[in-house]
Amino acid sequence: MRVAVLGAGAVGARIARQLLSGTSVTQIVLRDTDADRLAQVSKSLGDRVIIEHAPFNSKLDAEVIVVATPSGTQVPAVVEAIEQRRPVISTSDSLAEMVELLKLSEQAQKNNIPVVLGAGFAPGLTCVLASHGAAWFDKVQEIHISKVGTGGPSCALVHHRALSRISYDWRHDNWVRRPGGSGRSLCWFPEPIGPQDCYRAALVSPVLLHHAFPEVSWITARVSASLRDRLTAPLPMLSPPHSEGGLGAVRVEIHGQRGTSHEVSVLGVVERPAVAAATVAALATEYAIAGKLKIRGMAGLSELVEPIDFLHGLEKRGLNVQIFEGDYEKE
Amino acid sequence: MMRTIKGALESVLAAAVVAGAFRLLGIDRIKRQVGGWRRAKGSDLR
Repeated sequence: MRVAVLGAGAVGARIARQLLSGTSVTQIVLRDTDADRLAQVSKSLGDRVIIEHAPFNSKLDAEVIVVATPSGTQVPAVVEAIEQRRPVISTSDSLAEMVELLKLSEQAQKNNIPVVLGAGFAPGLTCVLASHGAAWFDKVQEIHISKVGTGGPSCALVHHRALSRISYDWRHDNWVRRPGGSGRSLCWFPEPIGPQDCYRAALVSPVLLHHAFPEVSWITARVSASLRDRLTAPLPMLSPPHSEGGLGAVRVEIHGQRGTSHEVSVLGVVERPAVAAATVAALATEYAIAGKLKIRGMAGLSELVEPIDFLHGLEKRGLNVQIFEGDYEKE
Repeated sequence: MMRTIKGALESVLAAAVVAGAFRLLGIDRIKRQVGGWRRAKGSDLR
């Protein structure tokens, strides 16, 4: 099976590496606009990789297409893949881009191909955790997502911009618009991250989760930010983004009815965001290759994968889920 | 000038007194977490 990975950055290069470490992918077409980066990455990937750098003349010759280019640049590649009737895995975490991608939903369904949206850390892993946690309840009432940390430079840029843009939370049959950087909430992440102040931002998770859980009345997403992050969010980034961030975490809090009682479950994962995003995207790609994606059309991982099986797959790749046990006071 | 500095110091002192009072009453911005995280085991992933 030949897979095309578009983008050889912090996430794309790792996706290629993970796919090559399995048996289902025989060859990878790795595309990037940066020839130097491609040369550097291809050295460690061996001879099963074909590298292509801009300008790209030929059509993509691959059975599955993974789009891991910087957020904001993914729409043309997804359009092309849908036209070619190839399954697509997109790692985009930009809200504006997600809205553009969702406009292609009808086309994807018509062409009868699966398109995985937001196959990363958050969204992505958070969608699978929400789907798994929701199964513990008779009725889910609230889902709250929070995230700490960023992956590569593109992810850092999305994080920076998201804090100055309008956030969308789903509450009681309406999208509630609030300014990014508002709504401070103290969220407890698994150790060593611990408690972090998290804020509203233009994040994708509520959109994908509302699609998957239309009956849930309250869905929010927040991101950890420092005072400097919030103050400088409306400005261009003052210093170039780091090549890769440090350890990050996600946290999924689910409220609902179990029997007659109201209960809360909290799941979390600690990992470097780019590593976790690549692991999730690589596993989603293997699902696409194996025909294990549950629906044809465009959706997030909550709807496309069987969560327990997927989480076992992630565990084998070193991504371990943690569960919070105890009581806490919600701010 | 002196009046401005005195006013600023008084404000800082008042804020510290109020914060101290809240802390003495056990009202803290850091909400406490009782419990901890554990790795998901077999029964959690069934």
